[in-house]
Amino acid sequence: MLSKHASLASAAVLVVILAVAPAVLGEYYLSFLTQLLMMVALAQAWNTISGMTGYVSFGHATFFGMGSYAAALLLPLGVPWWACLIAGALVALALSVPLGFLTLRLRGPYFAIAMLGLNEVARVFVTLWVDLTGGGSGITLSPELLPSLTTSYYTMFLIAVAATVIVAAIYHSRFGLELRAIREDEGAAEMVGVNTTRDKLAAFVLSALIPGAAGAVLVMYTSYIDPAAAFAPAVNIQMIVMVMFGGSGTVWGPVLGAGLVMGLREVFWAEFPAAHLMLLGVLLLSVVLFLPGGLMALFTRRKLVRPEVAAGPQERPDG
Amino acid sequence: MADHILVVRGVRRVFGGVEALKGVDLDVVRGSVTGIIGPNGSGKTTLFQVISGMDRGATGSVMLDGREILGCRPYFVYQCGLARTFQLSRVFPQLTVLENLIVAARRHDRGARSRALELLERVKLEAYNEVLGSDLSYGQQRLVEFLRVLMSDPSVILLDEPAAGVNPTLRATLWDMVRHLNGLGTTFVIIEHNMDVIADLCHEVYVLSEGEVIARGAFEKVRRDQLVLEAYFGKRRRA
Amino acid sequence: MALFEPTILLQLLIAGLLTGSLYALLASGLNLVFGVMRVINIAHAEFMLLGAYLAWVLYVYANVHPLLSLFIVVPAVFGIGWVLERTLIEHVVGRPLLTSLLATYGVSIIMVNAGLLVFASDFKSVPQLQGAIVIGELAISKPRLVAGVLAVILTFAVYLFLEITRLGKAVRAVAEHPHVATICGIDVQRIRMLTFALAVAMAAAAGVMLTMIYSFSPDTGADFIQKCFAIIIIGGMGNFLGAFYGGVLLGVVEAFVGGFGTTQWAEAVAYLLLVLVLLIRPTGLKGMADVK
Repeated sequence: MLSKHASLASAAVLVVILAVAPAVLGEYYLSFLTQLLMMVALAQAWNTISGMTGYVSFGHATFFGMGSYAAALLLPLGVPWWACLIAGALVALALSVPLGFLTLRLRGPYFAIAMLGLNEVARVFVTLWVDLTGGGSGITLSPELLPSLTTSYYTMFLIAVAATVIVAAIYHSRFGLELRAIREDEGAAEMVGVNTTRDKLAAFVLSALIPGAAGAVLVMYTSYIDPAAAFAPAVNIQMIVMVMFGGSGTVWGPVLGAGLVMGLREVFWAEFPAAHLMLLGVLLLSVVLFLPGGLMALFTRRKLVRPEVAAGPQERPDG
Repeated sequence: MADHILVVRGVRRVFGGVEALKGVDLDVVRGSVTGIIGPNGSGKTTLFQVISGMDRGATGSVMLDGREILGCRPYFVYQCGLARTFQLSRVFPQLTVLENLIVAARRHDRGARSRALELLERVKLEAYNEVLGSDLSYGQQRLVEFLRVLMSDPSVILLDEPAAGVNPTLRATLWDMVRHLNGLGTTFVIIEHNMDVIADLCHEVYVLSEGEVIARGAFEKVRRDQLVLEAYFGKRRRA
Repeated sequence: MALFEPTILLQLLIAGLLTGSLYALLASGLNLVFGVMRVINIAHAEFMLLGAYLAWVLYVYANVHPLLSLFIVVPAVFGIGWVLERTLIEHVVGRPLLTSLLATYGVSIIMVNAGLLVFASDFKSVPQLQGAIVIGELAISKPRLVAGVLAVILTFAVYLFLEITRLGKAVRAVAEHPHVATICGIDVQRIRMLTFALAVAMAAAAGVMLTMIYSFSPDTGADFIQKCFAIIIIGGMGNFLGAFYGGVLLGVVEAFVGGFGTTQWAEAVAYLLLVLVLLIRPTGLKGMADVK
């Protein structure tokens, strides 16, 4: 829709605006923006695996929760907040390798269901390991350990930018082309030399890293975590809807989707979280039935070359 | 003693009680065009599936240029220099024609784009490079699929009924390219039903029936073979 | 060890069988929909809860005994399923499995949250039947006994329907060869509507019985759908009796794990089984072709 230069220019403007926000905005709006940026990060992460490769995950909150707990456990031990952030990302990364190895052998809906199951296994696991995690009561962090709101904001900002840059880099690279080929027809992709196992795993690991980091930042921002919140269906639902509504597999779709979902949250979440989620369910259903390509599909026009016009061989309609 | 680039020995493939391949042997001479013919259901495509690595449930041996590739993953077989096309078009529908070709090139191949455009020019499809795979006619898709396997410069190409569904003009173009590439040293193994093509192009022909090779040799010799006639037309009833 | 006394083991076994029958009733419906329509209805457990809440409402506001409310709830949910299939599900039939999964996931989200809005998240139950039947040293909980037996009867009834009646055979025909079924003059769309309606009605029946045994909230569906997936994948997708055996098996395993371990571990069984089976047998699932 926009030329490459226009896209980059608007992105740059956006980045500058977001960078100076803390100087201008009060706590409420800064808080809102922090959460918005987290949503963007999560959406782009989900996009990396589900949008780009077509392996739709119903349980990516697993990595978000793992990152949260990693940070929540390390912070009281005196580990500096930025190291906790890295730890969160690394824990998610470390887990994603064996998990991806196992789940990526499954196709389509079975992968989705397996991820959903893993999400619940993670939740139950954390709940049962009471000695370490405090079980269902969760972990509360004392305020003096926590970084300031501004720090959290900038961290989340960097994570969101990183996530978007990752998606953009993949999108324009040979790796991205291979992922798209996998999404279209994995067997044929294998047949033209694409190492599908390696590519899928790489995408999966990249998609786990960001939620791990974001989860770590979130717990340091809210000062509390419990299994229900860390591995919440709401996290999964929002990830899925943001990306599918915005445009799965695109660079800007997830950003649009995140904006929309956060906008809806502002209206509904405080009073009626259930209403917000219900609306997301309606959105998801609508997208699946009527607009599978999401919003971005409305904006992109495919270049069509009509065969009669092009200098091609004379075609009789073939089979 | 001829130089065999592809040697298949005793390949056996059983699907839940049904023996699709009963111990197939092939010796494909380097630089030749070898044909595989036989009635439907004789196992030709299954053989290709096994050789190319898409079916990894067979026993036996497949040697490509002296290297055992049976049971290897398809992408590895491709990187070893063996490519194949499919019976039904498997062009990537939402990728452009150019993308379809580039993804098949070797990863660090700088010249992939220009080679892709050159190949498209050869078949007069250069104007279609930004067209999505799904927007092509079936015949055009088959052609693009054929070009796709040329992108990595393989030494052996397996073609599974490449001309099916393609109109005569394009068909001629396709066979011309096969001839041309063969002249440059590429080995072809072709599954075909069109006996004129087989007679014209192939140096050697294998006849497959019910999972085993029942005849091999030059086409003229094979077409008179009793077993082959029985396979195609059934046993002659005693008068 | 006191735990290994035959009485205790038998007690656990019976409890497991009874609960398992309930699971079987639930899972069979899901399986049926998959087999006939190639649609994965991840909202299936929400229909169970729909039945449960309807029964609860009838009990609290109209004093209707849950077993009686079956006669109201089941037809009602059948009707809802019929309409829903025609308006929504039809559109995702024939599309990749993932599409129907996403669509029904949307339905599930809507239903769960609608339930939260209407009923709030506190747990409800219908403590109508109380007490236990004592046979020698065995004590069998009455509500579980009734629920379990009813579940078996209903599942068996559906099985007979599929095997013996003409309509049932038409359903099976569509499951096996939808194209051939059309040629034979079967109205495939109607069969789909019937199948879906029947499946969710079965789920609702399971829900009514659930009210007598468990306390439930709108979030309870999440656990049950995982159980269903585990059951179906173990028992064989599309295989009606397989789902029944799988359900009973899960019930028994849960009972024993719960008996010797904790209830929390028992709840985890289904998840672990599901994940395990999916990971160990990713392609060789009984009765399942590689459908994308």
